[in-house]
Amino acid sequence: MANILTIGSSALLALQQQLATTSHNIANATRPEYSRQRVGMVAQRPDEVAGGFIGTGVSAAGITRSYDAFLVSQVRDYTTLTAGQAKTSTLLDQINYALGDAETGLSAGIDDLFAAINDLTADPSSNAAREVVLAAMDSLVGRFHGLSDFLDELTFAVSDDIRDTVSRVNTLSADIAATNQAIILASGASGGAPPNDLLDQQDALLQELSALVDISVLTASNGAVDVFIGNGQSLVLGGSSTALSTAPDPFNASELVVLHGSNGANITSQLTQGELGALLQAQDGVITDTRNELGRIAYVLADSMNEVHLLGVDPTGSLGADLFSLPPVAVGAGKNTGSLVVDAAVSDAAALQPSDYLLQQDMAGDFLITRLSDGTVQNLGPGPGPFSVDGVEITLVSGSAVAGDSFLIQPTAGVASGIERAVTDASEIAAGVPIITGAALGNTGSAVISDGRMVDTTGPAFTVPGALSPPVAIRFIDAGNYEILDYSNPALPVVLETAIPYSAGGEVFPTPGGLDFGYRMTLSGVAAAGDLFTVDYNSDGVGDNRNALLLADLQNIGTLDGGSQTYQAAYASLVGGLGADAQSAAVTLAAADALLLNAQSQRDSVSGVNLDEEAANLLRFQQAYEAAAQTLQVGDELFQTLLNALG
Amino acid sequence: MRISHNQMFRTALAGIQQQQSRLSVTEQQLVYGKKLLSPADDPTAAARAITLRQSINDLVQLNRNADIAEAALQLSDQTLGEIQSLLESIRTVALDAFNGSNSAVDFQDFGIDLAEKLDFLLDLGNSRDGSGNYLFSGSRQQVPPFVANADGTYGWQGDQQEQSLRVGPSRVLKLLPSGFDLFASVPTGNGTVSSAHDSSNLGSGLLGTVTMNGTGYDGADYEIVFSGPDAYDVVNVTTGATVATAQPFEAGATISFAGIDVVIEGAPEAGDRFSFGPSAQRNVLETVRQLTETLQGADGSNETDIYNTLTRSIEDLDRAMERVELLQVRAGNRLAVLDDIRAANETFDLRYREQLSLLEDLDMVEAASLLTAQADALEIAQAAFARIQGLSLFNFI
Repeated sequence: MANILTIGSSALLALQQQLATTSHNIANATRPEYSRQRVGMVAQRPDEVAGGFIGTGVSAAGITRSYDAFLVSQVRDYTTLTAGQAKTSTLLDQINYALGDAETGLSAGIDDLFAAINDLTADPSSNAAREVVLAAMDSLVGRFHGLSDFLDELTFAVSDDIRDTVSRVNTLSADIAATNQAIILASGASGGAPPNDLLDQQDALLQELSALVDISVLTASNGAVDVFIGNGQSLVLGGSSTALSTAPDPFNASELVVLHGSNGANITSQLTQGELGALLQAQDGVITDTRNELGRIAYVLADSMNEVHLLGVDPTGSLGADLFSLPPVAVGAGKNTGSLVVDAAVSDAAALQPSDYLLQQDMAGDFLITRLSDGTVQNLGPGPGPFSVDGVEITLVSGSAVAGDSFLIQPTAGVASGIERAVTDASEIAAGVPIITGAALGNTGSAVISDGRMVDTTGPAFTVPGALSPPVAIRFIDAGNYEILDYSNPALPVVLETAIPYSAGGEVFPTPGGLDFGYRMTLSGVAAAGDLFTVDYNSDGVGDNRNALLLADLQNIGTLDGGSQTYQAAYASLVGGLGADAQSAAVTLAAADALLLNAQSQRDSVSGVNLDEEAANLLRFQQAYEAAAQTLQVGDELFQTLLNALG
Repeated sequence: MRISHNQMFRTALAGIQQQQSRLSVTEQQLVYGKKLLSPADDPTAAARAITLRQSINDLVQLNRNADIAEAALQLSDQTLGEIQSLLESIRTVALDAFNGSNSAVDFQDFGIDLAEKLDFLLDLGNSRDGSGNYLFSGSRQQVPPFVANADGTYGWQGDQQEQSLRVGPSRVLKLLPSGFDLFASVPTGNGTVSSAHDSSNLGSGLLGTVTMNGTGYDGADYEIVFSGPDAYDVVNVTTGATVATAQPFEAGATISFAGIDVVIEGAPEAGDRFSFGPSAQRNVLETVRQLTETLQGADGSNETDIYNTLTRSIEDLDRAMERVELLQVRAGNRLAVLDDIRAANETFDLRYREQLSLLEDLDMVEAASLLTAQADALEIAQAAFARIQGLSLFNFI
């Protein structure tokens, strides 16, 4: 009899625990990190009676989580992947919208400038057309500045984001360490029973952290976890955590590096995943690359237009000056111990690559240069230089380096922000060519001289402003030979070189005797003895549009990558490349999202609460509880029966 | 598979969100009418669109240039036409003067007429375009190409630069001829040989026009020197050699030497000379001016000089008209080339625009029906969610 009562009451106690746990499950059903709990039930030790064992009831043997460590770690992994890709995707989208727009992008600005130059070719003496060219130059420079400002702002935003993310990482690490301590305490107090809800909290913190950085987790037997990042740097060890910090990049103060712990080891390059990894990679990756490529386009555009403009003459008869001014190549020294001073300048714009370079001296005393965009390393030898790398000339100015000293050389990074219009007045636009050729009156042959073109205006022939030193004439001795004359005094020409054989269509300069005044022209047709052709300074050719035509041609001439790409083709491949990056980031993100959803489903399938199941359990435990209560009733009635029989 | 409460919601929500984001993309595409919202949608197309748009803008610019080129060519064509008819009328005056039996006063009248035409010819040579730039001064657009010098002669002060314009991709078209070609460097005589009479000739010998007889002219200077009314010598002035001595002279008979055929009419006298040399270049304005001066200087005693000058001048005017005609033909050819280039530009423009449209523009019908389909899908997902989340065992307890 007593047995029935004991069994009944043990069932009631155990079922109460089950009902309470079911209610707890229902109460926590919507928390994503919650793992449903189950009460383990064991039969109590049976009594031995004659002929066998008789049961003594049931007792609750502990409350456990439905939990699969592998599935949870998979969720963490895919969270890292998804969060990183989402960040990358957002950044790329922003850059894409800024650069890819037909109206705000660079291409329309280049079109406008060349439209203005084309209009100038149609009316070279018009001051209005010249003013339009200046305005279009300003507008293009403004577009370069605007895009550069956009990238600067993006860099600031990314820096803020990095600082914020690092501080979130630190908060989470501290929280995880604190939870670890609570878990150790709780499981100690309960004699080893798992503190389920604390463990869930730990999972939630770990998952939040995994969105920020790629972590590896080691679980100890007491339930505490150790968390590592990068190449095994500890974030959390038991109850203590190590803080990360940020510092400006020693080479480039606008970028941040991430340091680990109190000794400040730089672990930036090891953090490649999660939100923090995506941000750090964007800093050195897409943002730097885009800025360099924009800078390269700006540099080549300005440089090639300057080069043509320098060969021209303006309506006042002055030689052309630079159209655009360009900033010098930035050279940043690292934390160097040597005294070496390095200078760099662009020597061949067409060979420029959109990259920064790291110059280092190795133990053998050789200088190594790394093209940071692709990591290519080139050994330049011990010097003394100058070294030429990708169109950049690097000069070791003074001092000497110590092994390990390093310099960051940025040929193109500052160009998009530093490019400016150099011509100040519309009348300085050199639409003409400084030489004018002509046939003398009275030529009897049918030979003609070409208009001529300039290759160099820095030679001695152009030292006197507004005049050729000397003016030159070409006179035919007979139909097959000519001579070059110094025509300073047409009445008394001086023969500079004679008996030059004439071949129709051939270049006159440089002559077989080496005369070269910096211009080129051809003679063609049938010449007669005495025929004379003159080359004079073009001092008042206000209607001369030859140099403007050459400027206009630049839009369709390959000037980048050794002459294989036009300005806009390079810009188009930049936009196309960024688009492809954004596209692949979006595709990867979608895939990672699907993987994450799947991992979460699998985890939820094991750990999540199913309300219908809990409803059924509720009914089941309620019914069992009622039945157990009924056994007590039966026990009581049996007892009453006995008492009545005795009484 | 065991399904948890959260899982059900997450799956349903993920489905709805996916449908919504698809719907939003289609909506934006419809709003902007563009297939490409970001280069990420189709990176290759985005890059291609940039270069296509550049090519289209360039063609737009080239067409603008072509308009300007056409206007310039038409203006030059028109001006050349006016110059040609003026030269024609000058030649007519010269012919009238040559053919009639004119008194000194008649010659002077012709001279006065020519003086006016000469002024007009100078004006035409110094024609300007709508912006006030001189048409024929080469690149010295703001300097009149032809000027009357202090001594009354005419000079040329332009340059020989013919302005050109980009009218097609890698096609540069020259526009206006230089005044050097138009007036300043017109050959004299018949283009190979030019002849002259000595204005101090005493006889009435009239030199006809020179024709080439095909035996070859060596480019040297020659003179026919009359030793008497009936005989002449031919001298190579360049070498000093006498080519023919004491040839009998007959008025109107062809005299041949050194590839030259020429006829002398009238009655030359001993000592009269007629010279021949390689064709030179002379400014048309100078040709007309010299004729005008000669005519105005008629005094009744210099008729032979006047008739000889008229013959030379008419020959020179013929060369000038040939030159203008050549330039007119050239302008006409350039206009024809311009039409071809324009047509090619338009073909390319159309093709590029089609390609750009294919890359960028949205098929509205397709997008609209896609939008409907996506909206339906979203509604179904929402309905499914509502239906499923209503199912709970608790409803039955």
